[in-house]
Amino acid sequence: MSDDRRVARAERWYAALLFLYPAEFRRRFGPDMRQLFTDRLRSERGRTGATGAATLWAGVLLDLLPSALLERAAQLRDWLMRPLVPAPRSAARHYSGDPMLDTLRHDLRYALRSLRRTPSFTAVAVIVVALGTGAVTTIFSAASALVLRPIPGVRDPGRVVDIRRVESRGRGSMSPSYPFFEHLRDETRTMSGVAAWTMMPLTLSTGGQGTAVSADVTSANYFDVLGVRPQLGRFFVAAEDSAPGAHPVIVLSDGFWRRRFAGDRQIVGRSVLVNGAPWTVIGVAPPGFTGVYPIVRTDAWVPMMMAPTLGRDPDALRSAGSGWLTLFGRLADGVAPERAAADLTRILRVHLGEEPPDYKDLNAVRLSRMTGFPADGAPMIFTFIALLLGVSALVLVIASVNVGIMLLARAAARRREMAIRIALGAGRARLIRQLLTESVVLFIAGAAGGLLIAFWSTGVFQRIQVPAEVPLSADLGPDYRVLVFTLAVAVITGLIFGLAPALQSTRHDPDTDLRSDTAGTGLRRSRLRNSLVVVQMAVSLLLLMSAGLFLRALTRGAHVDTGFETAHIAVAPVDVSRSGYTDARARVFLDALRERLAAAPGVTQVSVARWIPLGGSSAGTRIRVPNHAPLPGDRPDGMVDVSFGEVGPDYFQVLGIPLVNGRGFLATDDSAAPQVAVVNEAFGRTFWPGSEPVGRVFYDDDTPVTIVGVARDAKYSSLNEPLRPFMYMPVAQRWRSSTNVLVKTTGDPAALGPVIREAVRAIDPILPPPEVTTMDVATSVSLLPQRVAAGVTGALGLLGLLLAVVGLYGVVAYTVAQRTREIGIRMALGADGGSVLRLVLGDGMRLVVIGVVIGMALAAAATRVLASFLFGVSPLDPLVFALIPVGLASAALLATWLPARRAAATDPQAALRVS
Amino acid sequence: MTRSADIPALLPLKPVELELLLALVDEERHGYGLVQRIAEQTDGLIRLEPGNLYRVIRRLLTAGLVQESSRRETGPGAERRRYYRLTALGARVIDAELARLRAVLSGVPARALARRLRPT
Repeated sequence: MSDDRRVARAERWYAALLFLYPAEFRRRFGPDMRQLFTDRLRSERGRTGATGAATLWAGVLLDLLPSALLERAAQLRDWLMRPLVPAPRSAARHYSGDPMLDTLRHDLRYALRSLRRTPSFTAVAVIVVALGTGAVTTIFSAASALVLRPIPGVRDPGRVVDIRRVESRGRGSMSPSYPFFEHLRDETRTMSGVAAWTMMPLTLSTGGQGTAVSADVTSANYFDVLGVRPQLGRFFVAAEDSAPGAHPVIVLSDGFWRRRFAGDRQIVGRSVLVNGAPWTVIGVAPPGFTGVYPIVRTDAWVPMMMAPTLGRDPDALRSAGSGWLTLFGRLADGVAPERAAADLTRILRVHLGEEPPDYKDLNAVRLSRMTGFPADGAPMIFTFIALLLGVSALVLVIASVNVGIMLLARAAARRREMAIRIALGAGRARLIRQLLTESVVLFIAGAAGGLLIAFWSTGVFQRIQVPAEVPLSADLGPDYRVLVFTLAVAVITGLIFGLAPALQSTRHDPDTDLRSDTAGTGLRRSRLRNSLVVVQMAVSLLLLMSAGLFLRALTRGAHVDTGFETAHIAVAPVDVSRSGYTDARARVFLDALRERLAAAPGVTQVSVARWIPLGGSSAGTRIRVPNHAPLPGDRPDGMVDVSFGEVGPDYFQVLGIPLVNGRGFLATDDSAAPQVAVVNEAFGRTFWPGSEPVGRVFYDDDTPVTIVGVARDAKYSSLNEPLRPFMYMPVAQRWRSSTNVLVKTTGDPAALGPVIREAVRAIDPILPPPEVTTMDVATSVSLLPQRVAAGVTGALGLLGLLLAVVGLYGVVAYTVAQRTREIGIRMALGADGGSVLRLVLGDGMRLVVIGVVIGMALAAAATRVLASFLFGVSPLDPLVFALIPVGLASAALLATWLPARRAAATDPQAALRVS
Repeated sequence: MTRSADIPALLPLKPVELELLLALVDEERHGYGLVQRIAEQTDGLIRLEPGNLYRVIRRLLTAGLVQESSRRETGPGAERRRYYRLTALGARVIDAELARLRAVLSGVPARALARRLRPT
């Protein structure tokens, strides 16, 4: 590029940056600044090449950003501070000529001045508002990040929809099969593209020790349908979707590329080992894009056709009876979602005959907005988030009421000022507007503080480790939506809670107010103040009650008899097939690992299990039990759906599950031996009531399975599930290379991490180190919503309590100060300290009691919505309904007692002299 | 219009402001000329970036210490290049500021400092 063109281009960029400045500044100096920039650029020819340009632009930004900001601040200050009454000549050009703006300017100045005159009032009010908005903003920020933020990197996300296969009548749904996906993709006329994907963990290495990778297998058009462009190299092409196993190519996520390959730009075309086989890196996804579930960390994408080489059943790409995919698509231009859904449903029904007969009820396609969550889990997640948002809104109400009360007191103190201004001819509307400006300024300042709190607290949230099967990563920090939301909240609450005090302090007859100079206790004002105190008490009680209920649910959940032990057990997920192991080699490896670990100090027993109880996943199959008459609700064909888990020898001993009868699995229950199962007691009661199930036979896919043992009933997938038939199958007879090694120890299971990793490394150094966790953690997913809810409502409840109690203290202290003269007279007339104490306490506690009663009524009505999260703890739990009101009342008593004691100590002579 | 009675209100000048005004004492200059001249005057101590330079110019224009000149040159980019010159008020303000600085130099603290730093 010639030097002139380079300079001209740089100048265009510079000109664009000048838009940071206020318009006036830009008009006046813009051309000049561009010329200066060009002059300098021409004189300093040394700055060429990438580093030269980077230095240049860094310097330019360091100069322009702060100075533009300062210039804007100066403009704002000039606007606020310029003379309100235009001087005849010089200021005339500054005068905006817009009476609206000038009044606003006037009000803002007045508000700032008046708030500055009472710094402690302002500081307390701003802090209180900051705590309240901080709570709401934190939750909203997390909610916005999880729900509202569009999937990063996706073009026109409004046109991308989730595609689900459902029952047209009924609530069932199923994961689509690959042939079903092909039909939709090839035959649709209403979608511009239909794509499929599923998660697939892999191991990637460059020769040495492998790295566990959270990958997705996708159809070749996945990125096209989303409209995502690679930042390096390319994405998949149609040819890579044609032949199974023919194209070992992989796309990396930006995050993984930076972490694992240090952002090496030569990565495209390089060969890496994926599950032990050589693959080629063809591209890197743009920054921010981590697949269609943004909260799940995705490291890489591989073509669907490679799934069989990565451990998927090769039949999965042919069988219409195997559902394992998630589908989404992009609506064609001008097509409404309803029409597209009808079109896809039509295609589905054309091919219904090619599928297993029991799919015939799943005969409709439903489209829904892409939420970034699995479509069937989304409603539950949204309800939960709405719940937390509601709870945090209560904290904001308490905080705002608090400031409302403070503003009322301030209004009382300023009655004289207002009266004078009215007497001088100020209109009431004008005064109200001024006072409202003041409260809105206060709330905006508080909201700014709240935003800072939200930045901090979302950071804390993000660091919390969630036990989940997939790696989660989410950026919960506030974005521009949160900014707008917080600003709106501040303005609205400022108006609402500023209105009453503003009306109060301007509703006066100037004549009487000017004459009576004691700050009287106007009946109406104190009634308003009292009702605000009542509201505050009621709301904080409601908040504390919800927190109490969640805590009860958590303790109840923790004490549910799960039927197995979780203590002293370490869990290590391993899948050596991802490192290129064959099944036979994998079995040898697992045996070696078991042996090695059993010999480790402190280890008492070792077992394996593909499935972890309460771990968040479950598997089911359809069995036939001879001579079993279908019960009401069963399928008419006599087949029964049963959940099962694949476990290894010694499993029952490791988890402490008693065998009621028969035996557990043995090493001899392998693929060569006849199929066996251990069932739970409910299984026996359901199918052979009154007789012994051991020795009986049922059929799974026409294979006879003999029951060899009966295990004590337990919890399998959730803590509040009803007792159902359940069976255990031997891992060796349902072989899958991905499994968990369970190690029982006498000591701390978390300390086994290094031991297990070392054992794996000693057997084969290329294997990635397993991420060892404990059984306690692995099964804690089942209590996750309760944990989050109890934590959030507990923290918010305590904050609300603190605010409410401080507010109450303020009101009582203020009232006592106002009534000094009255108390003095009472004492001069013979009342003793005790009766004054009772008087003040009584006045304060009356409000508290009313608030508590209203709060209990509110709670009784409102906590019903929590019922589904409570594990059978009644929403009207007596313990919560008895303890928490008493606790709140005690805190309130303390808050009233402190100022009451001061009132009782009043010296009547001094009190009478004061006024 | 700023009257001469307002001069004390404009003092003290910031170092950058003083240097910029001094750079205009002998001749009218444009933006880049000012940057170079100020760097020269201060032995490279003050190197103004454009954003900052024009903020200072704006302040001085508003206060009436400098003015835009009607002078234009020929050559590439000349039509955009504006020249600035010192106003009469600007000259008086420099004078007052220099007088103030002289007073600082001959003041008690400065002399005490000189004594303190003198080798004993």
